[in-house]
Amino acid sequence: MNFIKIIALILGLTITVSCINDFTPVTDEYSDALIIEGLISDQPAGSYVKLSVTYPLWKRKAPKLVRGCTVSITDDSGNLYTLKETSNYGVYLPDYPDFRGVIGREYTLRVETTKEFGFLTYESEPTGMLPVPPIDSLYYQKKVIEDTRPAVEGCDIFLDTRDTENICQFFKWEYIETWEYHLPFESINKVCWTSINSDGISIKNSSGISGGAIKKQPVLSINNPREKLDIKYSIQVRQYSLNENEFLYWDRLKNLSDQTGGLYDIIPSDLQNNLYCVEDSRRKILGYFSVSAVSTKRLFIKEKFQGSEIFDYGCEPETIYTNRPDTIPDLNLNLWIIEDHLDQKPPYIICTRNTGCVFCEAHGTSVKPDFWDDDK
Amino acid sequence: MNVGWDYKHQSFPDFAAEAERSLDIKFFYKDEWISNLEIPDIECKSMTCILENLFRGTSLHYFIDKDNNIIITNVLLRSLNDTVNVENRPLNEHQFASVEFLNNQGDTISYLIGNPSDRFLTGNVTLTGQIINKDTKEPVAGATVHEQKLLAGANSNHEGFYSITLPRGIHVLNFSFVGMQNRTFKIGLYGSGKMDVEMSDQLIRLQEILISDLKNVLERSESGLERLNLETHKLLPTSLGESDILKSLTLIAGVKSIGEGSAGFNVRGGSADQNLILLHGAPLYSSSHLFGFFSAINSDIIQDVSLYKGGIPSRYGGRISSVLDIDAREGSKKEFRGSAGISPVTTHLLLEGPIINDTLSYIFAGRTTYSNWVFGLIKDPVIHNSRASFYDLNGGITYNPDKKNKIELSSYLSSDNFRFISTAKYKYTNNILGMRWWHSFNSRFYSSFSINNSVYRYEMTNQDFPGEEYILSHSLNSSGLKSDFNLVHNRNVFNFGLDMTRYSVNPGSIHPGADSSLIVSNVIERERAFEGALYLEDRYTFSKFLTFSLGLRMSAFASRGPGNVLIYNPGFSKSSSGIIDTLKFSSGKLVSKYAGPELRASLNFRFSDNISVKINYNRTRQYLHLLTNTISISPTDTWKLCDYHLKPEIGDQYAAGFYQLLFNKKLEFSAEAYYKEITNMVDYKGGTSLTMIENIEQHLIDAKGEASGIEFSLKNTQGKFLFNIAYTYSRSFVKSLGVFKDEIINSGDWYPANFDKPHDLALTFNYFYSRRLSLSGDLIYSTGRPVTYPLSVYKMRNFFLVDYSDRNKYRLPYTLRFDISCKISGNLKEQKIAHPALIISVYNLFGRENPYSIYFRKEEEVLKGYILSLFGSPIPSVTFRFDF
Repeated sequence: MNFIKIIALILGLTITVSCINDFTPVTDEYSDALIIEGLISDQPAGSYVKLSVTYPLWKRKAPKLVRGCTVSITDDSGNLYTLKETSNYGVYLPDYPDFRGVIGREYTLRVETTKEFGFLTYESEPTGMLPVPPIDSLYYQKKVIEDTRPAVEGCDIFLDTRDTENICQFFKWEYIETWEYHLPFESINKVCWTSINSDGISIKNSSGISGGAIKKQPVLSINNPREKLDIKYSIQVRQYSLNENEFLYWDRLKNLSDQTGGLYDIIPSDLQNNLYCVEDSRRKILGYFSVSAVSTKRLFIKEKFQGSEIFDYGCEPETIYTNRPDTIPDLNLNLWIIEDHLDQKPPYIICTRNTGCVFCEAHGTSVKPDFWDDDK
Repeated sequence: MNVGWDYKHQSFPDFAAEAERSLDIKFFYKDEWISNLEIPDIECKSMTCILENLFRGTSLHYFIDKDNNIIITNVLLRSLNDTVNVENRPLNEHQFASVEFLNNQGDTISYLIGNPSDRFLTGNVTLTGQIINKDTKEPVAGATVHEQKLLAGANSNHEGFYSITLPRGIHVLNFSFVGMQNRTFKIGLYGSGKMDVEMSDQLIRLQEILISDLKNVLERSESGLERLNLETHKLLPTSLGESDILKSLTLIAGVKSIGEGSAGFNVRGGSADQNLILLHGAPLYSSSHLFGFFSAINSDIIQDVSLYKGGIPSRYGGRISSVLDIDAREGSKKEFRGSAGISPVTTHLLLEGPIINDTLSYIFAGRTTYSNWVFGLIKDPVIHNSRASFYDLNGGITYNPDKKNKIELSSYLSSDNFRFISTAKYKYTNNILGMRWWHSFNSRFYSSFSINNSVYRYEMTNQDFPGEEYILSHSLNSSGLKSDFNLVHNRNVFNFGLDMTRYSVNPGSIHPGADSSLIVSNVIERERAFEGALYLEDRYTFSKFLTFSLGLRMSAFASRGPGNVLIYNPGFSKSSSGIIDTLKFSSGKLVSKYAGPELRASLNFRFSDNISVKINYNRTRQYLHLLTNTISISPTDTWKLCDYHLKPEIGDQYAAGFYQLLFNKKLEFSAEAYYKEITNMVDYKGGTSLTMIENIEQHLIDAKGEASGIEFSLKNTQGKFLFNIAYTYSRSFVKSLGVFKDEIINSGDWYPANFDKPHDLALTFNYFYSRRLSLSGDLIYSTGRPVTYPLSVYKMRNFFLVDYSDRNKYRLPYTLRFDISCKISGNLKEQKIAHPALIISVYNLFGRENPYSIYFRKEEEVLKGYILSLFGSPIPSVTFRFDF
């Protein structure tokens, strides 16, 4: 859209000539297509199938998960594994605690839906598991983001991997970030951790690279060191081996989702996945049944980054003059004491209305993750 | 003139010979007229006395012109010296080669061609000749010759030559051309002959507004041919103060564009790459500047514009929807002149003049933006560091050594530079160099030869990420060689020739954009191919009621190595995992070949003076595709030749038209209906990005297209108030033909093409209040273009995704726009050094917020939709120009 502004300027016009209005498309169809998100990996507890339906565009809503379906996978040597719905609704896990996908095997997914979905059965194409090389190294480079004084620093995280035997031409990476942060005020649990998952699509075709060596593959750029890089940061990268069809699926998905629908954007359309409806081959089915080996690597970053400490928790302390804090309405419901100065004259307390300033649980957890290694 | 020898009983030829020997005179006559003539036994001293007596009682007449030429005719002629050059054919008579006559008695002049004594012979005769601009001595192309009684007509070709076949007898011939004074001649036509005609500009360039396009639709034998009236179109405010030929085209019934400011145009349900745009006889691959906001053709240099929507003559080929033939002007052969102007977007300059009077002339025209200068003044860093500019230059040299030869050397350079902030730079250019030679063997056999080169190049430099700077480029280089012959024989007009093109395409290459860049160079194998065609067409006039034209174009295409072709397992959708073999072709080896006939046929029935019906069919083949999977074509799209996997597109169009002149031929009504089928169309697998794709066949889907429509137009082309109302109802659909799941769009059903806008109304008018003041306007209504809406959203692997409707299932709101302009010309005194003119226009006078595009953006887990109107309020602009 940017070039339009420029063109408008060439025309000697101000941008106000062009106008942008909110637009809600009126459609006569309500789409509540089923999404099958499946992953069979060679890692223990790394396999799951998640069933959900699409939700309306304009509503901020948690995905509606689909319960009560019969889910199973078969492999090419005739083994059948059923998946059981967990307490986590809509998520189905193998009913075998030590289930792991095996490299070289082909897996087929079968989902039998309930009455709500017309008792339709969906199946995947048989999809083979390709081996994945390990991530050789995961590292970061410090960089200057704002040339202020003192400069604000951030970092770029890269990985190197090597597909020497050309066993896996198509890579996909996902990651989970975890960091420790400290609440600004003294509270019961000052030390907190929080995690977020990657939400982008990071894929690469290594076929054009000599020796299959992927060097300095960007994983993530941290351009805002505040909070994340203040105390200690960790990232775990999962490297998947895709087959070509899945690679094309993600590649096209990525192309489409980079688009906005403008005149010079790719026309949106349905994407080919590896799923189909047994009874009605024309029925739309979204999602993908991924079968992939996974290798992981974790990186810890504990270094001083300029500007990382300038973090605004938005606590906006309020001072209340009182000697009877317990009489304050809504105390500990939406108002929390962060400092008390009842011994002062006149006595007062400092409060906040932001739970995030008081409780780790507001944005994370106070339980130290298993992998958190204090030495690194 | 005293006769001093004994002439009595001398035969006339002997007498004439003697007279020419001893006196300073020359005789002109035809042998058969005087074969039995003997000088009578009379006493005369003077020549006139002898001739008076000699011809008394015969059907012969004579006159003596000021150069002492004695002309013997068998009709009574008055003398003298006009600009019509009549030549009798065949030229076997003694000296009777060429006579010039002038008539001072008004507009209708009598000429005699052939021997009137032949008037009872059966069969038609053919009159040919050349139409020349009296002032500039340039040939007038596209002029109409019209026989009033019979309603027979013909157009002059590029060199101004015309040919009309008529029964023997007295005819009234009308010569007309937009912007020139009509000329009407009464001729006695008794044998095939030649008549050259000079036409004058309809007066001083200032009077360009007083135009009446007298070519009416009945007289053109092609259906689906549109000729733009340039002068009225130049006044149309279709493009923010710039006169824009391509934008004006979209006002014609059957021609659409995707939206305001989008590149390309769509003719009768064809995609934008199916239009052959010829400039200086060479194909133009990029027809617009600034992503489509302005056409890349400077209106100043246009002489004539013909758009073939259907009924494409055999001499054109290579694109299946239409041919837009833009004839550039030649420089004036008489005097130096020029024009200059400034509009909100560009400044432009045109210079022309003779190098050698009447023989060698030049023309130069250039346009450029000055926006960069403006950008530099703006403090906003985004704008300050952005650049957007374009220019185009046209140059031509025309050499007319004699009447039978014309050689033209022309060149066109177009360039666009666009830089957003300082990280991404776009540059695209289209350069043309061409030479054409028109040669007339005689007035009934003429030819043209052309050789040209057209290079389109696109380059994108991206410096968004340090270490990953790259330069991406694509280019298409085509060289064409064409010879074209026209032969007039009895009732036939034969057109035949050879058309050859050599292509070389760089599908894409990527190179590091900085020394520190880690990008690895990658160059996709260059494509090389030849396209050739032989064609023959005959336009045959059965009678005044029926004209028939039949043509055949045999076209062929061959792509050559070096290159590798991948062979896929036919049981799967093409992808690299389905490769079963690789065919290697060494340099020069034939990789793929396609050939086929293209039939072009049309019939024109004339029911009466005012009504005609035309029917035509044409097949066209296209060997060059523009790969585009965006809504509008964009300059970053790449051209792709047919190859082992990609077959040529074939278009079949069936059309019929009804034409009627109303109110004493003042109004012209036409209705044309068409049905078109396109085979071997391509569509794209969802979400494919088309840059730097090595094996494009893995991403293509076979498709076919179908389009139909009916176009109505009502035109007034005479008087002070000219208007044109064009309404089209048309549909165009695409159907994917794949068998595998990723090759199926919309379940394999027909779906609307991106430019399917069923209702389309365009109303234009020009009101010439006086010679100094005119008012023009256009009103456009059209159905909104189809869009694909997001229906719902979902998340997968933590990634936010959108589920879309079937492709093009919905439509944008309609478009309605009214533009108006007013031209005020300066003082009309001819002696003034410069003639200024001011054009004030308002674009989108109603200020309606017409949808340009809709787009969707993820904002905090919600998909928000927006509708963008580019020009949501009236936009005034002022253009100033002056001619000198």
